[in-house]
Amino acid sequence: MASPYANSESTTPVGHGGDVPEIVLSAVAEVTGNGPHLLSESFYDFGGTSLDAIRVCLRVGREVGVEIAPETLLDSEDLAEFAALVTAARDAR
Amino acid sequence: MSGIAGPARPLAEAGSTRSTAEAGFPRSSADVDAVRPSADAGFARPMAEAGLPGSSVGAGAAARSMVGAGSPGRPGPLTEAGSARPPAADGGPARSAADTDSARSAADTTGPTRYSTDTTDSARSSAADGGPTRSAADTTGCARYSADTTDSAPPSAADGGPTRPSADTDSARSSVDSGPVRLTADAGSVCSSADAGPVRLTGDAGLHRPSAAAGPVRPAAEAVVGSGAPGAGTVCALLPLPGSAAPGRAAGAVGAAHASGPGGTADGVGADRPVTAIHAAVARQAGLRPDATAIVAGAARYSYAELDAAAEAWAAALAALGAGPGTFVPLLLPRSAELVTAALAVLKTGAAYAALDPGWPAERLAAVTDALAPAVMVAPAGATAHLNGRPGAVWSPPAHGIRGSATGTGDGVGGRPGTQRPKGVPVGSAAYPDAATVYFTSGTTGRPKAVVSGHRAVVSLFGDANPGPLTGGRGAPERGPVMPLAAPVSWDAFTLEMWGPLLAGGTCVLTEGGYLLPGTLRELVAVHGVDTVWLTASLFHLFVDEDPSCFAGLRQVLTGGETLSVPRVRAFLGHHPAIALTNGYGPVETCVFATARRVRRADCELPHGIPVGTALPGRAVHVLDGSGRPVVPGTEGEVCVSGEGAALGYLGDPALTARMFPTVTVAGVPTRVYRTGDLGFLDGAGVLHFTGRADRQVKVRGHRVEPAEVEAAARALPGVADCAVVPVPGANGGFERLALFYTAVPAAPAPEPRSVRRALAAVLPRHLVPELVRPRTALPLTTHGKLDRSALLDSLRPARGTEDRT
Repeated sequence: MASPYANSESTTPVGHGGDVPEIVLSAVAEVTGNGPHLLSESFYDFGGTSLDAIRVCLRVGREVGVEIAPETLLDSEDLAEFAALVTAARDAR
Repeated sequence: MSGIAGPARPLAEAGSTRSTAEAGFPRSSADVDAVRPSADAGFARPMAEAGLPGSSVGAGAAARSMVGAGSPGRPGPLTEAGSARPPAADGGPARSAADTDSARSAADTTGPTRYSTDTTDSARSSAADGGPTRSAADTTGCARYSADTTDSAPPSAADGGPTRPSADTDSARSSVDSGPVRLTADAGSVCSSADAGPVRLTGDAGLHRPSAAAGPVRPAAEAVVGSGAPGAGTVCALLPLPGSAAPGRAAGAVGAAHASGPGGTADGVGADRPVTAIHAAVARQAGLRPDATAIVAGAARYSYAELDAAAEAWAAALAALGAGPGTFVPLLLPRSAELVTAALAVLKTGAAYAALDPGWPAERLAAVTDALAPAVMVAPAGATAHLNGRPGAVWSPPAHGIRGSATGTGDGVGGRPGTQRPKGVPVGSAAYPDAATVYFTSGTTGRPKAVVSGHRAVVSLFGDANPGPLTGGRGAPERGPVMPLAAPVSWDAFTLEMWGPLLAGGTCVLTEGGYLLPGTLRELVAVHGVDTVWLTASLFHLFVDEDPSCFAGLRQVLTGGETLSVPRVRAFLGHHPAIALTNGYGPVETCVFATARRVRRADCELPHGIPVGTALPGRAVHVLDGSGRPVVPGTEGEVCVSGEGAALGYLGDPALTARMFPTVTVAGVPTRVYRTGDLGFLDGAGVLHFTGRADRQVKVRGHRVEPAEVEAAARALPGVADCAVVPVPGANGGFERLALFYTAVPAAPAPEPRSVRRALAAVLPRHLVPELVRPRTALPLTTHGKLDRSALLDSLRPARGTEDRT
C-alpha cells in the first residue's frame, strides 16, 4: 500500500533537483517487478500497460512533486524521453 | 459493461468461439463450424464435482431459486435497507402514484414490449386457459430482489441451503398455500417457471412499504421456484416499462418539446405519462428541476433546462440534415458537455448515436463510420478534414456552445425528422426502431461488432421509477447521483456515467485527461460533490493499492467488468465500511449491467470470489445447459440474459444476431436471450456467480478483447507470416496484457517488434494493441497440432523484460 496521494505535497519535491531518471527507473522497476531497466528501453519493451503507466506516474509524481498524466509515459518513445518530459514539467512548475 | 472474463477454462481453451453447447440452441448453419466436440457433449457440470457452493443443492425445496418482485418506486437490490425512496422524493407528492398508475394502465393498453411479445402472450393465454392461478404479482410485471432479501441472505445461502428471505411475511406465506401460482410479467418477459412447478409468491409487506401518498401499491412478490423445474436456472428482475411507443414518438417530434417547454405534457413526457425514451426521461427531469445542474465541465455548469433546450435546437439542425428514426449518427467528439448534448440531440431526432473515440486510428474510425451509413455525423468544427470523402454530411456544434443554443435561436429549430431529409440520403436499418446507441466491440472476425442497443435498455436501468444500480448507499436520494464522466466515450460505461445521472436528476462531472486518477477523484468529491464513481475492476484495484483514502466522501463505488480481487475488496471494505461497493456484471449486449451485487464482507469468504449478484430491473438471468434449458441451481452453465437490457442485434449481421440472441424456452415460454458466452451458476439464493469464459474472449484491464481480432490485424501487416495473440495473466487471476508472437515472411527483412507494435497502434484502438511483441522463428504446436498457447506464454516467463528483449 502506498501512502496517500498528496496533491498538497506538490510544493515540496523530494530532493532539490532530484535525479528524475533515477526516480523513473526505480518506479518502473517497482511497478513491473522485473527491473533493472534502461533509459533506452521503451515502456512496451517490457510489456508495460496503461495501468502500469498510471502506477508509475503516480509514484514518480509523488516523488518529483508534479502531477503526471499516464499518457506522458505511454506516448514516450523510451524511458529517457519520459524522464525528460517529467524533468521539464518539474522545472516549469 | 461487458462480460467478465477470467482465464479461459480448459474446457474451452481451444480456438473455437462460442463453443458452449451449441448443439441445443437454435442457431444458424453458419454456426456449425464453431461447434467443438467437447462442447457438443454439453458443458453443464454439477458444481458438486468442484466442491463449489451450491453443491449440496438437491431436489425439492433445498434448491429453490427465488424470484423477487417489486413495484415501481421500490428500492433496487442495491439500496440500503430501510432506504425506500419516499414517494415525494422528487417532484411532488403525487408523482410516484402517478407513475405507478400510469405505468400500469399503459402496460395494459399498449401490450407487451417488443422483446417479449410471444412471452407475454403465451403467458396470458395459458393463464386464461385456467392454468395456474395468476397472482397480483403479474400486475407489477416484475420480479426483483429487494435489498433486504439479498442483504439478509446469510452467507450460507451461497452454500446451497434454502434461504428464506427475511422479506417473507405472513401475507407471503398465505399465498404459498394457494398452490401453484403463475407469475407473469405484463410488460416484460415471464419471470418464473410457473407451469413447471409450484411457485410461491411472497409479499414483502412491511419492507419498503410505500407511503399512503403513493396510492395503492400492489404487493410485491417473491417467487420461489421449485428445483428441477425448467425455470430453476432463471432469476430475473423485471420492472414494468409501460408503453411500447417508439422512442421518437414517445418524446414527440423535434420542436414539439421545444414548443411546450421543458417538462410540458404536450410532448408526452409529462408527469402522468410513462417515459420510454432516454431523451423523454431527461426532458422530464428538465421539467422537474430546470435549474439543477446537469453537467459540470471545468468552470462551466449547465442546467437541465439549458441542456434540454440546447439539445432541442441541435436536434432540429441534425434532423434537417437527415437524422431521424432508423438512422445512425456517429459522434466524433471528445468527452465533453457538447458530446452529451449531441447524444441527447440525436435521440430527440429519433435516430441512434454511436459515440466514437476521436483518438481511434483513422482507419478504424472510417470502418465503423461506414458501417453506420450515416446521413449526418457530428464532429468538431475544424476537425473534419479527415472526414472528407466519407458519406454523409458533417455537422459541428455551434461556436456559441450549449448556452448560446439554449436560447432557441439555433437555426433549424422547428424542423421535423423525416420531413426535411434530403432525398437519396442513406438511411440506416429500419429494423431497429427503438435503437438509441450503437457500441462497437471487439469481434472475432477482425472487424468490430456493432451492437445496437435500445432506449429501454437504458431507461429500465436508470429511470427514476426503476431504482437500478445507482441507488446503493444513497439512502433516500432526493436526486440522482453526482458522477464523474470519465469513461472512454465508446463504452457502455459511458452510458452508465452519462444517462445514470441524467435520467435521475443527478449531475455528470466531466474530467480531463484519459484516465481518472485517485487525486482527481478526491478533488471531484471535494469540489463538485461527486458521490458515486464507476471504476473498472483493474482501476478499482489500483486505487485501493495506491491511494486507498481517495474514496472518502463517496456514497457508492461501482466496479466490475472483471473478476474482483478479494484482498482489494477486503481492504476497501475495511477502509470504507460506509461506502456501498457494487459489483456489476453485464456484457455490452445487455447494456451496462445485467446483474449487480452490493458487496459484503462475507462475500470475501466465498470459494468463487465475489458474486456478480442478482438481476437488475428489466433484466432476467438464465443459466442454461447445452440444450438451452435452465440448469438447477449450483450447476454451471452458460449465462444468458433476457429482458429490456438485451441489445436489439448486431448491425448488418443478421446471422450473428440470430446466433447470439436465440429464442429459448424458459418455463415453457419462448424467451429471447443474449448468450453471453460467460460461464456461471446460480446459488441457492439465486445469486449469480461468474466462473469463466466459454471461448477465447478475454478482458484485459477491463477491456473486452477478442484475440482473433488482434491476430487478424497483425497478419495484415507486411512481413508478418503468422501470429498468435495470447493474453498474459496477472497476479489477480485476470489478464494484464496481450502478447503477440509472430513469424516473419521468409526472404524478407523481418519486421522489428517495435515497428510491428507501432503499425498495430495505427490500426487498432489502444486497448487492442499488444503490450508485448515477440518475433519467433516458428509458432509452437501441441501434440494435437494445435497452436500451443501455453508454451508461448511460458516462453515469456524467464526474466520477462530483460532476457527476452529483442
